[in-house]
Amino acid sequence: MHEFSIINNLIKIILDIAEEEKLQRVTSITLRIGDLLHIVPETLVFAFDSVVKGTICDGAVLELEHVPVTVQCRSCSITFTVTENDFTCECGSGDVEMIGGKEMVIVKLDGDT
Amino acid sequence: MEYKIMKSVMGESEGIAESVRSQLKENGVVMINIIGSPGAGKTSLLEMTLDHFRDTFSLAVIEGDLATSRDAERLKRESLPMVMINTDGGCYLQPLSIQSALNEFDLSSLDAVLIENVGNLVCPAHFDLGENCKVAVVSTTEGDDKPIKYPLLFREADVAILNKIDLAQYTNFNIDSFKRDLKQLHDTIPLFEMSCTNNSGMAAWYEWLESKITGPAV
Repeated sequence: MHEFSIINNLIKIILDIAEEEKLQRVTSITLRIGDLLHIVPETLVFAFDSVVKGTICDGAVLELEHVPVTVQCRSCSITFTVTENDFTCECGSGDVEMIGGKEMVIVKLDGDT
Repeated sequence: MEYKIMKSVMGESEGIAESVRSQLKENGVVMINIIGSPGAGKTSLLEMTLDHFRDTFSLAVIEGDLATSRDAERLKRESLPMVMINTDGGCYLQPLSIQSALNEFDLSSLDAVLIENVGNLVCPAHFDLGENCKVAVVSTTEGDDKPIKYPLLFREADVAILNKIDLAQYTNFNIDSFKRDLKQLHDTIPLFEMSCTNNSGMAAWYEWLESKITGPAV
C-alpha cells in the first residue's frame, strides 16, 4: 500500500510545475508505470482522487500508461518482453538485464493558465 | 495546454538513496537491506549473523518495525550500534529515514550496516535505500510460491535465503517448484537454504556476506 506515497510524490512534482507555469487548473496527468512494479491501478487512482481534493488538480484525470517488462539477454543480446514472469531467453540463458518495466515517470500534464 | 515532463516520480527518493550510497562508499561501509515477510526469520538471521561476526567486523543495525521495539530488544548486544526506526504503520523504510539513522553512527569505525526492513514482500522492494545489496528472506512455512507472487523483490534481490529448511518435511513446501520459479525469475541469484534455529546451512551465507564486506567497493 505505498500507492499514497507515490501519489504524494507525484502531486509535489506537479504542483511545483504548475507554480512555475502559473497554471490555474490541471486537467490531466499521464503517468508511465512499469508492469514489474505491480501497482494496482484502482488503488493509485483512488489515492490520487483523495490527495488532490482542494488543490488545482482536483477533478484531473490520472491516465496510466503501462510499460511491459523488457530485458536484454547478456548472452545473445536479443531484447524480449517478459511474459508470466519468465525471464529466460529463447537461447536458454537467464542472465538478462532489465531495460524497461520498473519505471514510474510523469510523462505530461494538461492544464490551463 | 499540454506540458511534457518526463520526470521520475521517485526522483527525490532516488536522489537521497544515491547520496546515502556515496556517504557509505566514502567511509568504506557496506550496507545490506534485508527484506522478507513477517515471521520469515529476518531477526533470527540478524542475531546469528551478529554473533558470528562479533570478533571479525564492526557491524551496526538499523531496525525497521511497524509498531514495537521487540526486534530491537532481541538484537541488543554489548557495543552494537543500533538505530530503531518505528514506521508507525508504514509498511517500508524510506531512504530519508536511513540517511538520518546513519548520522547516529560513527561510520568511519564501521565495516557494514545491516538493515532489517519492515516485514513485507511488496513495498520495501520498491525503495532503493542506498544499500549495496538487497537480501530476500523467505521460509518453508510460508509456501513455495513466494518468488512468483512477488517478482519485483526476487528480481531486485542480490541473494535469496530460504529459512526454516529443517521444517520443510512437516509442510507441503515443494522445493523443486520454489527453485524452478526462482530460476525463471532470476537465474543468477544465489540461494542459501538454512535454518537459523538449528544453525544448518549458515556457512554459505556468512561466506557470501564476508565477501561483500571485504570485497571491492561497488
